[in-house]
Amino acid sequence: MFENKKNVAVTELHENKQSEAFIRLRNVGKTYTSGAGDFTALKGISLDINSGEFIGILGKSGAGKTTFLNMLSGVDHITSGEVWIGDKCIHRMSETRRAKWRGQNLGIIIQSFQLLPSLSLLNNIMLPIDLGGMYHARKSPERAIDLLCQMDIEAHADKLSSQISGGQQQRVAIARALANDPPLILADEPTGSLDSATAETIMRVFDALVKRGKTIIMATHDFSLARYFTRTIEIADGEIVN
Amino acid sequence: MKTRKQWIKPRWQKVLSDLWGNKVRTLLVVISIAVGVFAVGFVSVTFIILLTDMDADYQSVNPHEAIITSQTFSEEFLPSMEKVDGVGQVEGRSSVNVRVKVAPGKKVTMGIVAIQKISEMKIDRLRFNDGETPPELSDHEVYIERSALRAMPLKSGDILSVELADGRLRDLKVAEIVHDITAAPYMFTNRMSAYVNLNTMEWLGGSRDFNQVYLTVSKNKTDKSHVEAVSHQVAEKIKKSGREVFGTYVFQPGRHYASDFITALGMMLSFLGGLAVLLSAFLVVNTIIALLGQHIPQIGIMKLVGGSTSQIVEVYVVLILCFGFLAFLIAAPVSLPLGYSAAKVISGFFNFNVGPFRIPLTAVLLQLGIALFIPVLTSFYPVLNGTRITITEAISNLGISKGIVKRGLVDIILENIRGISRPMLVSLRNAFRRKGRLVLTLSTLTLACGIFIAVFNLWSVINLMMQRTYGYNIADVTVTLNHAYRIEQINPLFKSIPHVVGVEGWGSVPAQLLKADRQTATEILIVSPPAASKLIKPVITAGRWLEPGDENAIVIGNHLLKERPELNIGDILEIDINNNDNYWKVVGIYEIAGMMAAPVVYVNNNYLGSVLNETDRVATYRVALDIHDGATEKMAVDTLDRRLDQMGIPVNQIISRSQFFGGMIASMDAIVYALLLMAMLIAMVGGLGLMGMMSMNVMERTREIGVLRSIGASDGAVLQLVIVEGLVIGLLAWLLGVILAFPFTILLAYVFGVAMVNSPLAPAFSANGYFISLAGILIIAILASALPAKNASRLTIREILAYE
Repeated sequence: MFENKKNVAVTELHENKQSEAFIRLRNVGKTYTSGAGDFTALKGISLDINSGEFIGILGKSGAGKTTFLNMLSGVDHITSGEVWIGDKCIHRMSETRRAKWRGQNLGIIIQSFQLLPSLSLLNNIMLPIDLGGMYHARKSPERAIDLLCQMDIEAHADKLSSQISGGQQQRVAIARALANDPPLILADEPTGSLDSATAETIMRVFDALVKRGKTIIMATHDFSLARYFTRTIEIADGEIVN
Repeated sequence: MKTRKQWIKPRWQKVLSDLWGNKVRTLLVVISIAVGVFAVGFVSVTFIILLTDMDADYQSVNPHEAIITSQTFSEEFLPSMEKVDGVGQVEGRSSVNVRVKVAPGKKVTMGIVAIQKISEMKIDRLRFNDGETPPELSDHEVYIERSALRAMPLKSGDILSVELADGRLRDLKVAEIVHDITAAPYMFTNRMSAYVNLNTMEWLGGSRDFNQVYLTVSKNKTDKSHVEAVSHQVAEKIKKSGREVFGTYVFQPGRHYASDFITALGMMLSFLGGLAVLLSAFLVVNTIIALLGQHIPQIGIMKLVGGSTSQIVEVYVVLILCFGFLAFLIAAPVSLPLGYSAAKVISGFFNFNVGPFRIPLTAVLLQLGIALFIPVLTSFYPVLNGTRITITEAISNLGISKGIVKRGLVDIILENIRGISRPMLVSLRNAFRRKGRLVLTLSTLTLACGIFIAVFNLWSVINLMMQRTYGYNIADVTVTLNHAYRIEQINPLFKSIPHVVGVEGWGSVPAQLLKADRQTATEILIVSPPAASKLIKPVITAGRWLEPGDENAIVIGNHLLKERPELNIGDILEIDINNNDNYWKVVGIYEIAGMMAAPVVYVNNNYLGSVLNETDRVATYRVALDIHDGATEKMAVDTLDRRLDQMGIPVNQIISRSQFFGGMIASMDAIVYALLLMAMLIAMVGGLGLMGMMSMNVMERTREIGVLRSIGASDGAVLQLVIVEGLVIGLLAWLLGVILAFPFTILLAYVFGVAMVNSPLAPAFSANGYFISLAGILIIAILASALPAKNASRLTIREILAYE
């Protein structure tokens, strides 16, 4: 429906070397240094994730789930190892290139919704399109409305985030994550602060996205959600334990 | 969904929302930039118009570069003067002094100049009705220079009775009120200027022949040495014709007499305007840092969704540009008419015309440049620094300090102070908690305080300068007679006047101080007080003052040194007085502020009398009264005038001390008001700075206030906590400002002295600036911290703890 300027690049990302997994982590380690001493949050994780999977990263608080996602998204630096998404080695890119790559190829959803309070919901969704330059400026309102429709909250398009419920805010965050039609979505505890009914709704939205070919990696401490995932990876003390 | 949103990109929509969403912050930043922009705009508009129009107005009349006074000569002699190498044009003038009764008991000297034919005037052309040449004068008609209207209201058709040197009265019909831009205004000289034709001049007791040569030079019109050299050649020509030359007057040739003064005033005010801009910039930096601190999560989100650092920098730079542009929109329309009005007032003061209202493009571009670029330039580093935050730091909202709180020196000192209550300790610690912001806030306030106090100190410097200047004319009344009289003859008359307690006869004569080549000379005025005069109290900067036994001793001043910097104590000066060369030894150097047409030197009256062959005969008498007020001065002036009239002694001028200094006081008042305006603008920026910082400090601590209240702190306790913090910051800034005011005062006094009154002035300190700034800073600190704290205390604990 919406012609994506970077369609060719995204298609390349999808079809990249069919023999190799879409996401490849090799001995990824992360150690934080602080005044209290070193703390290793991830200990040499190696993992392959294929395109179209709905991966659940399960674990208790402090297990290293968020660190794992941060390594994947490149918002934090790895201490050792390599992270490959498609044909890109994430941590070899400069900060600027990584930001641009992230905007075009990743959708990120976090627990606290993190919508810009001063912008309308519509503008919040248009923001990644504007920053990423994936769609023509004239097309972006249409695309944003379409995404709001997909999330069933188009009636609230002109409202501010403070004027809608938590569940609605999370749906806007999902719509924003989809704004540039990325092949990969990373979600960090997206249902963590929602009631169970709303959480169910969000999970169904994710399910529908996976059916449309998106790859979703979701971190959660709620083991009851495991039924939604095509594969679960359990992390404890910075290591994959299952 | 066809709304305007599709035309504005979300990031620019965010800029608009940030502008509109926090109106108080936007207003604060915009006003603080606007104050600086206004200050610079106002000063630049005023002085661009003044300097441009003053020069245009001045040059339009083909002004003289020199005036030579001599014994009379006829019109036929003029062409030979015009042939002197370097001379452009020459014109003869005949002049006479009369006295005019301007009010009951008040007479003013009027210098009347005869003009052969108005329509053929080449030099110092008269104008009326904004630029037209006035019609020819009929016999017994007079043109009055417009600045004389300050002395008495006159209009076309009025009959003006004038008293001639021999006491006869003549009635002149006022033909027109004209403008002579080259005439010294009445306000500064206490002399009215007027113009008649040659017939009327003769009728007034003057001569049809000329006694003055007005000349222009053909090139290098602003080169004083060149003009003096050319004038000297013309004077020599006059001398060779057997006529005596009384003096050559060359003052700031090619430029209006006030041009240096106005340029210096403009530079001075521009300097202060620049400081106001600097303060604004500090304030903007402060606010932007606070804003970025509040926006850390938003920066994180923008990065999370693909925004690069440069894109986010763009967003904040555009926001700052918007602040600047709004400030420009406020400041420019206000500064333009006010600047023009100020130019009108100042031009009226110095008796020249400014053109119709217009918008000087340079001033507008300057304002726009300052409004847009200074905030961006000064905030660019904080913006770059703030937007470089990593996503993890931003989303976890640890902020720039990364959440690490160290115990600093202040904490250690505070922990060891005994007897301070716990809440007070918290306040003191809070004041020093955010050191970066504290440094910026203190810098802004300290600078504002320092400048504010220094400007008030400069006021004292000016007052002190005035007091010192008064020392050169302590006499309450100065009487100048038309001829020199024996002192013994005049003294009893003066002493018989009520309130007169002392009379001194002073001599004066224009002379030429020869230069090393003995061909060219510097025009000077020799003033000779009696030995051990009580009516002069000079400020001696080197050597000594005149002593009763001195003969050829001379005391020179800073004005002469400005022209002849090689002169020093012990030098022997060759001075041409009435065409006779005399030798004088420099024994002292005095200093006086202000403008002088010709540098004044002082010698003993007895010796000068012997040089002039006029021993004990002088024309000027300085009178001391027992009561020094305006009413007594006026009474003495009236009585003296009447008595002298009764005795048939013709008077050139009787002037009271307050009249004598009137022009100087008025011009200094104008400077002080301009400086105070700048001080107010600087105080405004400083006040806004403190208010903004305190408000932001308190707002950022809304959650902390909630915690305090949840553990039992009363509203009063919270208020006290915040106010004490504000007072600590305010007091600290004031103390630092007091220290900073010292070098600022020294600098301002020096610059003011050198640029405006030809004399570097010593610093002086006034308590006013210190007290006003202290009171201001304390009031602002209390208001700025108490208001947001009061608002915060109105919120419920639940609301506060949910505050973002």
